Amino acid sequence: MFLPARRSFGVDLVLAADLRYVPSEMSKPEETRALSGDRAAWDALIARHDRRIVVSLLARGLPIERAKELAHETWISLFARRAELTALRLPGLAITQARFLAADELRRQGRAVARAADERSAERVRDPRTGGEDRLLRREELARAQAALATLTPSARRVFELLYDRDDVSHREAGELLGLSEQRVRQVLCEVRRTLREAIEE
Amino acid sequence: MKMDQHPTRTALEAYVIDALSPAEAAEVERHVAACPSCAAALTAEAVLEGQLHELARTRPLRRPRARWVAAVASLAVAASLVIYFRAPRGPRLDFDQIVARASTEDDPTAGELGGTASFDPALSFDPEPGVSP
Repeated sequence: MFLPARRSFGVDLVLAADLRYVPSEMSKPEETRALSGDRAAWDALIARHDRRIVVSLLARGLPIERAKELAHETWISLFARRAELTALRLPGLAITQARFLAADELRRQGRAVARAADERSAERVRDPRTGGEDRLLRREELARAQAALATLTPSARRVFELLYDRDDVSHREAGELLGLSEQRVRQVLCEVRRTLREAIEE
Repeated sequence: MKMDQHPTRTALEAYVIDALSPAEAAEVERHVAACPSCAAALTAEAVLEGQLHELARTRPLRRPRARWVAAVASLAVAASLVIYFRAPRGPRLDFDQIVARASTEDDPTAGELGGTASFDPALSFDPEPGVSP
């Protein structure tokens, strides 16, 4: 599944910023092997985190096909610059890189085209404020979501914490930690999402 | 799911949380690429996903221990404020006294001259250092 080599675009700025990061703990073995150029490790990391990157770009109003292309370019750029990285913090580093590529693309298209793109994006989403930027929670939405979070069962809250707070835990790993099947973790996750969606949209 | 069938909300949610098989995910992607209404629904799911990550990051006082730390810190700040405001202080000076004191400290003769020291450029400017006029 390893991605073929393709040209990467202006990635220097954001990578340069992340190179200064010194991790407080050792990288996971898979990420360490990826940094040393192990292609199987890269395959595993891409399989694990690629959807998260695509979704983060969809949330910014990008169409699905472009989101997938930019996710692809993100992995290529990270692989090409692996020797300069002291740690491969995923999915955070890849999401930052993908968003940088998306923003850089908009800049290169020029202001007029960017405005038009924002308008098209805005038409696609439910809330017009989502075009080009994350739709952050308003204070009252956040309060409602926090109140809804408090009503969850301890098990559901633990699933939420593992999958959204830790950020790097798969459904299978969360199930192993909580003594649940992977399928049950997904069911709980869908229930949590429904509860919180209703609270935010209230 | 066939190409002409709209994916259900559950299917779009499953795509966002990465719970579909590669074949199912590819099917959703193909449909969404050609269907603006489903693309909007998928974007909404993606936006919610970002909001849940934001919620996880911004939850206040996640653990009971954090509440104790916050409570102790609040008490410490309150105690510091009480001690500060109840501490005895020396007599307060008004503005004229401060000006008079500052003038006296800068120039010992200022007090003798009534606090209005004059400045004579001819006394302080030396055009050729080391050479007496």
